[in-house]
Amino acid sequence: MKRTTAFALGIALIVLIGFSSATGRGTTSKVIPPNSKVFIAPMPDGFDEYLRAAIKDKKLPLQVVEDKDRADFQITGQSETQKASTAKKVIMWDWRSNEQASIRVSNLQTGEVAFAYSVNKVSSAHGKKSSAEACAKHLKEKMESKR
Amino acid sequence: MFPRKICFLLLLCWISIGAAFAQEAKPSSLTPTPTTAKTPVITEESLPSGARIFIAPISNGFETYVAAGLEKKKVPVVVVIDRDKADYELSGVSDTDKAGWVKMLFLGSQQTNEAASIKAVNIKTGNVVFVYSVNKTNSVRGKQSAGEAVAKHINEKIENRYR
Repeated sequence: MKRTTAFALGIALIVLIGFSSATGRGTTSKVIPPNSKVFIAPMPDGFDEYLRAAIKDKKLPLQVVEDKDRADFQITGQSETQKASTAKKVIMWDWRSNEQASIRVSNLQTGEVAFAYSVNKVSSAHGKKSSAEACAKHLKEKMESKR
Repeated sequence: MFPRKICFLLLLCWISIGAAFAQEAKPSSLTPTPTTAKTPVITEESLPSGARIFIAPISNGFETYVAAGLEKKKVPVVVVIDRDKADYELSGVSDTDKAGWVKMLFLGSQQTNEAASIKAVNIKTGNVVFVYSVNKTNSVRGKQSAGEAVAKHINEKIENRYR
């Protein structure tokens, strides 16, 4: 009787392990641990510099490194600025630019994207600085959520 | 004089009828040539939850907006940066049409028009499992809106709600 119970438990355990490995395929860890080393890849219009400044301003617990080989994560992205045209200045009396940017944080060990975010600011108060700070703010939220 | 005119008209009719028949006959002369090259096939194959997706570079850096859209819409896929580690590849085109002064003057709108089209290919089989195009006139959030629309429809495809 005991033997049958043990056998049944063994089978149940095997099935459970198999099921968890099958369903857990997509639930890979997307956590960005504090004090991770991050390499910021060059972006168009020097957005990487703004992002570096924003990471410092928003006090993100990350170490920005200049060498990709020493980094745990890499930040890549795209940025676009649409300066106020003469028409916008004359018709809308608005000198501010429209900004859009998108970043991707990838884990260099696993090759998986841990975080991605895009921002669009119409008539951005502080141009690229605003969009970079929005990216940094959301990255900080992601890190604090520990998910 | 009269028969000459008729002759001319008849000649004209004959030429035009001949031309029309020649045009109609043209497609039939184009017999399909057997191609040996592997052509992509659009299938009804499902996109599984937890699939590893590589997003190929798209014009204007649209790939990062798609990745951000997938994150925002909580699509159950794993985006990877190495194609060799991926099951599916997402590729496409994107185009932005900025608001001109006429649009600003008459419509008071400075929003862009966004267009994008993407396809997801099973890397192993080469089959196209998902295709989608989006066109947003006066896009509220520019490329971000288009990227999120793409992500939303990928999510629907995974949940088998995409038609």
